[in-house]
Amino acid sequence: METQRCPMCGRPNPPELEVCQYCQARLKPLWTEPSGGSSAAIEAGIMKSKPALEPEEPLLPDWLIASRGERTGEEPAQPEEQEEEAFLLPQEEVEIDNFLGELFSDKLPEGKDEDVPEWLQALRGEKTAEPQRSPLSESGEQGEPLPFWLGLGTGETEEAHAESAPAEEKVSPFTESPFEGIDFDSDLLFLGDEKPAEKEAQADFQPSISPFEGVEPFLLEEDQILPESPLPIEEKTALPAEKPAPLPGEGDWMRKTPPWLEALPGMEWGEGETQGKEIPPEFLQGVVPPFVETDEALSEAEFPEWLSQVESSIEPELEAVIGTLTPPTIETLSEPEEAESIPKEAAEIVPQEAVPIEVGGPLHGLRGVLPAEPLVAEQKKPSKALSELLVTDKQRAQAELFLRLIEEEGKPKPILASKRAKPHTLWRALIFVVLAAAAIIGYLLPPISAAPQELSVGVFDAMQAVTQLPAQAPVLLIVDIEGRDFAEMQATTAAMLDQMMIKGAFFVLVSANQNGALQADRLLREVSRLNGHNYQPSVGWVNLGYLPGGVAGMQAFAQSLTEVMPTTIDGEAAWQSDRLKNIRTLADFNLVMLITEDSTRARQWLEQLKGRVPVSRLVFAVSAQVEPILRPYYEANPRQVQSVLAGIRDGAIYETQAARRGWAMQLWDAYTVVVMTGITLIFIGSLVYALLALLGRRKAQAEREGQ
Amino acid sequence: MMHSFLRSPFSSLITLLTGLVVLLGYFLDIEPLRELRFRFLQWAVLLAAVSLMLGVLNLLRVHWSRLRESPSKALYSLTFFGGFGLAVLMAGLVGIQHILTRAVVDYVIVPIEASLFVVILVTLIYALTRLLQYRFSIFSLVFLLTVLFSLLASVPLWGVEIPFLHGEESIFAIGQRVLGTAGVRGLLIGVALGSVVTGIRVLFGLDRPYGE
Amino acid sequence: MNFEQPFFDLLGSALGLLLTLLVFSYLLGDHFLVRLIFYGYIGLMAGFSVVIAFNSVIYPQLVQPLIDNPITGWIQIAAPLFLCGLLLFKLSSRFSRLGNLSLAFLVGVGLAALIGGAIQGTLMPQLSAVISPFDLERSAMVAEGRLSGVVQGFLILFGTVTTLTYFHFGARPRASGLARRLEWIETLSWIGQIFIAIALGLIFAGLLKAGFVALVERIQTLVNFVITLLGGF
Repeated sequence: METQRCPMCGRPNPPELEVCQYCQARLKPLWTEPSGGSSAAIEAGIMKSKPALEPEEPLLPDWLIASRGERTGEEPAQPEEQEEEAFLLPQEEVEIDNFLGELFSDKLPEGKDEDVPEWLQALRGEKTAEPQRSPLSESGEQGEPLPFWLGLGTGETEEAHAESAPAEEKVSPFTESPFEGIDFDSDLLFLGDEKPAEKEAQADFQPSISPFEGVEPFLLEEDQILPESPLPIEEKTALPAEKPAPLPGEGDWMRKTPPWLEALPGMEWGEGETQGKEIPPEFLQGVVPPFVETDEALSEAEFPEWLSQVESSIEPELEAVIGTLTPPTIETLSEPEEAESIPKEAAEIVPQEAVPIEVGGPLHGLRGVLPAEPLVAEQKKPSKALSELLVTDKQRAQAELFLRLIEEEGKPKPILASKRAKPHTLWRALIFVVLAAAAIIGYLLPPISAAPQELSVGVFDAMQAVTQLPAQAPVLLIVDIEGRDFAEMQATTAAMLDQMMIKGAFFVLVSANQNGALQADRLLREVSRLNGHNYQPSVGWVNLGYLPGGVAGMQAFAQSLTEVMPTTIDGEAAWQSDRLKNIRTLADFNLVMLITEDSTRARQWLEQLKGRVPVSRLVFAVSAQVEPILRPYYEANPRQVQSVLAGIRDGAIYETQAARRGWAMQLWDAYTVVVMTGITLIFIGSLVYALLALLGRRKAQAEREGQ
Repeated sequence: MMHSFLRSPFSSLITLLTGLVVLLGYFLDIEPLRELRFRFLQWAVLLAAVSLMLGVLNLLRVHWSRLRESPSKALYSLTFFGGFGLAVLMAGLVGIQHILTRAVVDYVIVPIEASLFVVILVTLIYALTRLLQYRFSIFSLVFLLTVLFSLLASVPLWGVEIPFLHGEESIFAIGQRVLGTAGVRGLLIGVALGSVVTGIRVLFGLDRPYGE
Repeated sequence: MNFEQPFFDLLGSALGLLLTLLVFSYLLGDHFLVRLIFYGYIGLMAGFSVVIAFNSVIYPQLVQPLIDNPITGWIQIAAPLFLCGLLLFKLSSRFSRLGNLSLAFLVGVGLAALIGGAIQGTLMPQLSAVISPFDLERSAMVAEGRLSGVVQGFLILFGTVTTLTYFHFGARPRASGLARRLEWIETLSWIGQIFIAIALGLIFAGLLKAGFVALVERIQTLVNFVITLLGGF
């Protein structure tokens, strides 16, 4: 793929781009060469390789070729040029383009003779400049004017010889083609003794090499400056008057560098290094816009008419400003006597020694060029310091903070206990205090409500089952309760157990959990104590203990209880007493009563006992929380359980119906007060929080609508 | 634990065979099967008791290691060992029905459990009051109203029994019998179906409870 | 009262009161004494469990046969002893796999009992109970109660079906990519949630009732203790 290289960074770019995609330098010039010709200076900047004009001739740059053509009067053989893309520039750029083209073109524009400055005309060759005489040219074989960098004092006019302050440096505009008079065939191009005429082809000469490549810079000395060098004299251009440079002897001009060339960068500047005033070479005169340093130079320089018009318009204003200045200010602004004649708009005159000469790039060799840095970086290696990371204190502190944050992220942070009580803790404490107060009030105060009178179906069936119980009947009590529900279970079963104790029933206790085995004994003890019965272990009941295995244990017990639980909890033989010697299966019991507060266990016992115990002999005494679970079994058709006593309410009803005040009635009064208090708390609390939730939702909705 | 043994085909075979023997005994009343089934059930009871012992032994081992490794929590482990030792000595030496054992049950175990249940009760009431704040929906409203009406129907209000609320033929009682029974019956059937399906899958090795 | 000496009963009651108050203080936040009480309680229960399990099952089934008849006893307990021995290896991390056989046996028996009980004790009877209200001949309801019985049966059937529908999680992918149940299942499921809410509300109310009884009993014990103390002075 065809690419074009950037002249600045050297990187390849697509051909259609106008600006380098890396360094943003222009890839294509803003102006195009006028048709029919190209100036040597333009061609010098174009990066293209061209074949040699003639096989015998070396590869020469275009500008050099063009200069030859001017000297010889021939049209320079234009090598085949690569077609360049034509730029379509705006009108103003076209005008500038035309101006620049005229500036650097070899041909004079038509009808513009009166507008063309003399220096430009000289550059174009309109005014025939006196041939630059160089020592070499005088003694040279060809008698042609010498090139500027070879000429010692060539290209200087009388004005160039004008005396000027040693510290001031004047650069005259180009008066002629910079390379006019250069004899490239002469031996002046060669540093060695070999003459160029003997060597027609310079194989190693490359057109891309700067014309000043390999040439030691030298300065034009005063005595080397030829007086007859034609310089375009403008009104305000002041050319330094330099002494004509002494003509060196034959062959010595190459070894002797002109003063102006010595002022190029790379040379050490020192006092006395420059000999006298340094006058820019003739080829630079007239090309570069006048670098005026004094009023004289300014007055001699040729400026365009529009600039003079501007000057005339602002000059009165400037004078008015100057009139308002205070004397110290004027003194500060004023320059020495020699500079009083300098117009106010005089440009700053910089000594020629202080103006560096470009040593690289397309402006190589030119003096007074505006520095390209930082637009174009100097080609040098980065310093070692740049390879090290420059960290400021602030950045270091931020980096340390960041590292600390990352490290702390993996570390567990202890939860700080808040010394202040949380709201839910206070609310729970308040609820407890209120309920406790209600319980105390209900216990201490006289009863405010009567015992429930209506006989429930479950209580009725339970009473029926107990009524049908024979005296001293063996009753199996499956006690699967925990200590936390002992009070409720005692309240639920106390009356029924009391009824059975009255009938002299013999209880066999078994439990499917460890705690139940402990609570079963306690239950019968408490019921016996409260109701005045003298039931004792082993006499009134036997405790088989703990039945492990869950449903498997229940099924095993249901299948053969005597083999599964052969001994009591104390290790005594359980089934060999007189009361139990006839017991072999569950069906041998007159009543099987399950006492539990666990719905799962109640359901499992019901499932495993199915078919082992007649339904009429199966009674459940459960907690109020289990009652809803057992109701489908109780209300099934046919029933799966004879009776279900649920909670303290059924116990209280049973006691009421049995006319025996038991444990349930002892708790009933306080229980009703506590329940009503609890209902009030739940109702008010739910209402408050529901209102808060509704208000919060409305507020959130309003905020959303407001957004 | 179940994960590792269920991965073995031999273990799965044991599970299947014993399960089939016990399951068939629910539907078939064959003497040899009944005897074998009972033996399996009896051995299962014994194994369950041994498992309980192993669990307690493991608990002792954990607290013993904590006693040595974590001095800050040593007092808690010491308290555990103290309670364990006391219970074993009392129940083992004097018996479960001895007065000392009964005193421990009456004055230590039951008060602790009952008081803890009261703490749970307070927390439940607090959570119920905030139910509508966290989830305001028709289901939450129905749940809350059911709780309130059930509590109201359980006790006479200042000695007064409201007809539609109290009694076996009250509106609430009928509603509780019908609507409550319907819901619970559906739950019971669902639980039973789930238990059957899961049990069969595990028995036949189709499902691994603590799968890979 | 357990002791013949009232003093020991009073001492015991004081201990119970102290423990009650300390556990009540858990409402204000966890603290050292409460944790100490809980650890002691767990130790007590662990000890009782071990003794009770040994006395109730292990001793009668593993030790007693050997005492009764050393020769036949070994034959009787060989299989369970072998299974128990294998189960003991579960304490060792290296030989833990040896106990898998015993666990497999236990799981098989337990699952079978669970399945059998669920089918026999719940599934069949409850399904029969759902349709029984519509069997007017078998029902023992009086004539004037039949209509109400049928209506109630229909409501119970409807509630049961909708409750079961709530647990139906079969969904089909729709064109939008989301998997949703059919519309009529969604409607029935929504109704079933109402019945479930009622059922759970009743259960929760029963739990509160049990808690109220426990609270009343504890408070009464405290008040009785205070009254006894005051009465004693």
